[in-house]
Amino acid sequence: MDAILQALADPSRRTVLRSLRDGPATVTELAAQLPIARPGVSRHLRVLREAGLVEVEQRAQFRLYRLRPEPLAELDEWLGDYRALWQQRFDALHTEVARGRKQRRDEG
Amino acid sequence: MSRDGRPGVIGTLRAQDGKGVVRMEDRFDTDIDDLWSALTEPARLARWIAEVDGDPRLGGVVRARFTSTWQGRVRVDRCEPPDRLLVTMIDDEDGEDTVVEAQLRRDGEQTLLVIEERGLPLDVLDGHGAGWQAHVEDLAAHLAHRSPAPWRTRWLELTPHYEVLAKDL
Repeated sequence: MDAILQALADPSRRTVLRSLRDGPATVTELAAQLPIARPGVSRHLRVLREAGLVEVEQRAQFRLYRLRPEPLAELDEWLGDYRALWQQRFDALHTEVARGRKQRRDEG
Repeated sequence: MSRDGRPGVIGTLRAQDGKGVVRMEDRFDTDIDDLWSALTEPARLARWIAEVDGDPRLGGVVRARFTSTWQGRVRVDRCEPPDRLLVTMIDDEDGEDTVVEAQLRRDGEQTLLVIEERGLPLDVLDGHGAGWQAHVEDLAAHLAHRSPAPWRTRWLELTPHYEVLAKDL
């Protein structure tokens, strides 16, 4: 979880992930698409790979990078507990709005 | 026939101490100093095989990204202009290292080049063989002032031929 959040904390790495959403790519293709210094692309890919967000398919000297959605699902699950909290608050707000509307109707 | 009108396969594969060796031999219409500079100067390397960051001097380590998509560190172990260059390649992905040796020899108006990569995994030797041939063809294009064709296309085209060679190991 720490590794996932740390990997996602960098805008360049989020750009790499965004690019891989469209499909697998070689490091050359990624470098061509991204406004990042070239050695940086390799370094960011290593961080993403260590966090499990990216996997590499290798055949001899050819490497293709693809997105691994599993850690994002883990993150989504973690956020789920907090989602329940704000969902409760929204429900309370809806109840309050409905009560206010009824009160105005009764008074009017 | 290849795109240069040459026979399909110019390389050979062999096993040595449980690892694989790829060997390419070719002859180029240029002098030995021109070929040496094409193999060692970063600005020229970028035009046919790899982007190199750092100073490729003896004992130095540079970062390289090949047209094949291979990337990692390259250490210059021997540098004997204009005859012999020996480097160790350290893969970023798996940390494995291999040795690449280039030997050049004057032959009249032409220059002979032998490139060997040693220490490769045997199960993917066909891919490396095809990849090296694509690189050598790109070198020929560069020396003839033509633009190299996409590496991956030629690699995929050559791989079945090298699969046949790898079967005999």
